[in-house]
Amino acid sequence: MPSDMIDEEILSQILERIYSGDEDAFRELYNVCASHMYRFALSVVKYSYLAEEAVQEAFLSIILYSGNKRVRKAKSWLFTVVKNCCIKALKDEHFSRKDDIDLYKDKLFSADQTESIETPLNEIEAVRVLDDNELRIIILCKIEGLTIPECAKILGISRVRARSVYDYAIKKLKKFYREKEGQYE
Amino acid sequence: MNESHALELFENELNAIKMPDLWEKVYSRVQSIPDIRQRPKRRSRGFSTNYTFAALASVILLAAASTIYIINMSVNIGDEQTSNVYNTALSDDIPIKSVQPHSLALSARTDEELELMLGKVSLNDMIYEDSAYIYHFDENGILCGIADPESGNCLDLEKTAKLLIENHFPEATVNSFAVTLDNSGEHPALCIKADITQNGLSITEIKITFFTDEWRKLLGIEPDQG
Repeated sequence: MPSDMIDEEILSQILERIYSGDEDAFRELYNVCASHMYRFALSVVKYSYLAEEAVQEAFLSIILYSGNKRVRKAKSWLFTVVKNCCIKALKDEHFSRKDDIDLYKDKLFSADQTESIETPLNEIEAVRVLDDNELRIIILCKIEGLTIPECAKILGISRVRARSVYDYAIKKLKKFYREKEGQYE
Repeated sequence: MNESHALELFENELNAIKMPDLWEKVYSRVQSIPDIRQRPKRRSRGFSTNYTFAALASVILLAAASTIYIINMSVNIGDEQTSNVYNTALSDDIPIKSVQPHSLALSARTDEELELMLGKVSLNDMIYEDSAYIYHFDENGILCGIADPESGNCLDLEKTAKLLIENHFPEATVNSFAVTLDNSGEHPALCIKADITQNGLSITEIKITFFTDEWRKLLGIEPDQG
């Protein structure tokens, strides 16, 4: 899985090349972005197979993008596409037609049930201290390098709330790792 | 335990999740679209030609990197009702709104915002802050600036308007300058009115109206869809 965040300039250049007909650029896009997209998709849909489906659909959407406008803020756009494809993947699982990610989450599992869901995320103890939006904000903001306003827009929450979710997530992680280190001392 | 250390540990754990190799599936799915293989190569479009108008200069926003945005400027000369209408070029991700001859519609998101637009703010309240922006008012209670507290970007309406005038009328002398409200259109509009003289020709009114979403663009903020 990725260790470096996607470079905004590199992503923009790859997209420009794709839309100019450069076929090699598509493979490059996959190499640069796929694992980042998968990780974020997992944070939304939880199940591996749904995350895989969302990522495939996202690549298709990117290729088929026919807007006549040059993509600005390529990373923010990329993760917005992934989020939309996650929602589509969830809808295709025959849940009710709602657009809100959290409504789908409620359908899939409650907080009590999360641990029993077979998802790669459960292998990470720290993930379990965070709620869904906290996990997504940390991934998008701190790991992928997006701004709070960009995260808020992708997640469909206000910027004020995004800031508050982010701050709380950081506190939780600090507490978790502090206590974990204390166990080994 | 500091923030960066906690995040480093968290990111290391996240990186341990194994991602399946999806390349073959992704490639097959893309190739399965019939017209993908025949899709003609798209030329890089750069800025959309839809957004190119006559007589335009980009306007530099004070607190941010150069930004091109839409401003509809009408100029009345002498007794003529209307004259040239100047539209500045847009950056490609700002959609053109439907415009009327003299102004762009300014729509408020809430009643509170509408009241702000209409200047219904006590003169004692020189600053108004809501959950998204900080509004600055002059001594007459007229909105004169908008700031985004998170990014620190600030839009000074008067300075921005004067810069527009300088760009379009570089030889002109500005005789008077006022920020007013215009409720004559379908939506209330905040106007910058200027009376200028250029080459012996007196231009009695330049009205520059600012569109609500454009304020957000000017501040470098995406329109609030939350």
